[in-house]
Amino acid sequence: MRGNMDQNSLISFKDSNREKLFNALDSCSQNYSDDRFESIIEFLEQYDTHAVQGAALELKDENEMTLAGRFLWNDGIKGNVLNETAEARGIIFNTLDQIKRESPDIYEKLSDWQSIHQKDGSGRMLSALSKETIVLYIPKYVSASKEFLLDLILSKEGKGAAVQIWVFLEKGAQAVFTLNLRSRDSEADNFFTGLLNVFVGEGAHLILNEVQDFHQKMFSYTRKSVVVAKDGDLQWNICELGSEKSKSYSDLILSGKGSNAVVNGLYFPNRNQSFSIFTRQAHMESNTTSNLYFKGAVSDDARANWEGMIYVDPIAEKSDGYQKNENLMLSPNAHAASKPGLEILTDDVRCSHGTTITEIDPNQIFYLMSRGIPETDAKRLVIQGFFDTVLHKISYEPIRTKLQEKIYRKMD
Amino acid sequence: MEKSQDIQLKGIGDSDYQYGFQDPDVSVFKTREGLDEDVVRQISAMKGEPEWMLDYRLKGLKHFQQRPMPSWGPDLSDLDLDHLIYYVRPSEKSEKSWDEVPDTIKNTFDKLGIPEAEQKFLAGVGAQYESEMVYHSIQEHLEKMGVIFLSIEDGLRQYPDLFRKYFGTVVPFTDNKFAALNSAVWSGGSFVYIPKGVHVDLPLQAYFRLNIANIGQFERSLIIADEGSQVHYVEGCTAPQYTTNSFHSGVIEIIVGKNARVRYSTIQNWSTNVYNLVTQRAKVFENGTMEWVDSNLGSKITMKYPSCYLMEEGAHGEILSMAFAGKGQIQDAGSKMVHFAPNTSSKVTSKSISKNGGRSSYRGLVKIMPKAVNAKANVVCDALILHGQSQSDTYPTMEIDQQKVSVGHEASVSKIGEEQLFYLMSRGLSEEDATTMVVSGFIEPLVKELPMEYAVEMNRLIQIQMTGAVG
Repeated sequence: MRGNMDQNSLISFKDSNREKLFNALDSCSQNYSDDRFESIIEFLEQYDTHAVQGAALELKDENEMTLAGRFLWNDGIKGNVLNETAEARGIIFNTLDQIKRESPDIYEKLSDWQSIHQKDGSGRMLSALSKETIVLYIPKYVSASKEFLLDLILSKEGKGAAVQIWVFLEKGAQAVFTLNLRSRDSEADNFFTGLLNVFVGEGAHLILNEVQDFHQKMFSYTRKSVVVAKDGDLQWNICELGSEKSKSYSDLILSGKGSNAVVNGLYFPNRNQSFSIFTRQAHMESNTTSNLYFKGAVSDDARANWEGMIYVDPIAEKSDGYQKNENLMLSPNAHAASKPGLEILTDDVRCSHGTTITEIDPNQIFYLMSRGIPETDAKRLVIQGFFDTVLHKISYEPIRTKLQEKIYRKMD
Repeated sequence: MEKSQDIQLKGIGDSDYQYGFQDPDVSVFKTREGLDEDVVRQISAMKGEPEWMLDYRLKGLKHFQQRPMPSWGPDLSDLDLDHLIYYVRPSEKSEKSWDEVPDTIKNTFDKLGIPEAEQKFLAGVGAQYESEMVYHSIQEHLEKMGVIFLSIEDGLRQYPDLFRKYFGTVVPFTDNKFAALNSAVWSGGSFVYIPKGVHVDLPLQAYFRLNIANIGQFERSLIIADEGSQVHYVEGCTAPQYTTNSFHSGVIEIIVGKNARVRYSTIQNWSTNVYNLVTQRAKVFENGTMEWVDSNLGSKITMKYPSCYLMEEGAHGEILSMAFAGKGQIQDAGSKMVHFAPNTSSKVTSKSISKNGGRSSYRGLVKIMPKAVNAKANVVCDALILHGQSQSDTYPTMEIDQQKVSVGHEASVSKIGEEQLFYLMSRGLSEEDATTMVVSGFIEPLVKELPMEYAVEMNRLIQIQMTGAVG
């Protein structure tokens, strides 16, 4: 075990500009230009950079589950730790700066991959904004049975963060990676921009978990892209719970023949939270399969907007794409929008999608009440059951339990 | 398997246009190319319209000029709006009896089979040749019941108050760029009024047809179904083939009164160089029912999203939509269902077929407004894709501002199942017949909703396109 030392990099901003920053990031999603970058930088005051002592870490998560590796980012203060086997097998979980110093050959490989990796306008913008990159690298044929956790905590008053995260699995590698975004109890105006780039190599297998559970005054903007190579396999679990405003783009690119991905998503906005979730499943090669299932409950005055697309390239024959979005309306003032999409450019495919927006079925409540369960409990049970259908698809048990707990807690 | 399918199905959409005959131009008046205030004034003057209508047209023109082209959907950059002829008048007046119609025009209709159809089935025929109704008839007993079925111009002349009360209330000129254009230069179309409680048992029909190259056709129809009435209106479209692109931009407004029921069926079979950008909308009042049956086979680019605004409690809207895109065609079809009131319901069924590099899309909206308690909406889209180069898209949108709702959507895209073909062929059908049979089965839910002679025509069109081009 070791603690690490690095520089603190939080961004200060003027609060009135948070909204503008959010919109500016969106407006540049089509094309990137240096002018636009300058205009976004104007919303920000400066980067604080000063050396701080890294924290000593234990290989345990919040729930005392043993981990294979942990990276803590606490208001810019960083610490990381790996278990011995992981270290011995050449797994790296560190900042890109450190990798550059310690393992130049791997740094080169990662940079090459990054430069050929296609990014859209706001992806480039976010990478230009980010002052640091955290990398998980799993070498060829190495499989780690325990979880790698990136614990990112942001709650310092008036500060923002722009972080890049790269996850790179070489051929035949296997891993579980969790990105945990959270805040301490206090609620302060913050913003977070994140860029997550993931590569699942040939025949590699990744379980990727994302939990966004910031406090309810956060503005969060994330762009994620996952490329799956030939015969690669991905399970991507996404859970959106926190933030006042959260916008996330999840781009799944099945770039190799026979690659396969399952995407499970949950969202549960309440009060005045507003979530916009965009997903894309791009089938770029033949015999690829994707299966996306997103479920959300919307309560109080909250807004949820889900927009998804399945794209099938002309060469992607024998692809199978599926997309399902289900929404439960829990309050008269809630707003939900669902916009699934298909763009199919070849004939030998099977693609479908389904979406529903409904209230709690009164018959179900009636049935439970006739069995002696009070109405509020009955409602809880129905909402739990609603989310359980997705939760059951999460094969990594600790994350399933964790998400279940978080959702149940939010119902109170 | 795919190779042979390629050969057998190449007829759809790219075969010789079946109605591609062309008659000499006999029109008595047409405006010059292009559009400005003078052209609009000229059209209005030719029609001898009241002042308010001219004002309305000019407002529409102004809005059209200010409004940018839509930023979404198919590429319309080839559409040259500056060189169109916006108004053509084929003969001096609307004819009442078939014998008075000029021979050349009659020949065209003969080729389309309209008089025979009338003798057998039709309640009334309004056939639109170029921009005016040239032939109009309606069976006597309907006239006695007070049913009005006139060309839109005659409607304005004979029933100015009724006309003014409803005109532009469903599709205002500010709705979209092409509705604004139509409001400025509209010409031709039908005016239908069904009085309280009257059931029209036989379908009312109008046939639209373009004959001169480079003209735009801007039909405008206004259908008013008063309390408790019922009517089925059928429209078919055919155009001869020309090398330059023609443009059709209609606006259909329908008012479905309390407890009334209206069905509007379209078979759109324009030749494959026509831009077909149509706004069709119905306002449905208490317990009324509106049904759109919409089939799009022809045209170069179609953008058409029939819609129902469910205004009052219990209103119901239904859309059955079929799109068939062959080579070089884009069928951007869809639907819009907007629920304004409690206990409203809607249902959309869309079938699309893409073939030989054609592109068919479903683009739809279901919107539940805050007051629409217990609204129910369901959308089902199925797409069949017949060649590797074809494209099939689905872009539905659901926007919900109400808790007590039930909204569902499903879509799937696939090719013809090899098992289905294998089964049929093992029963002795040729591959071609088997494929045709599967396609016919695929669109059957729509075809069976059409009046008989249109169902026959529809099946024939599909058959011609599926089989005619083999070899």
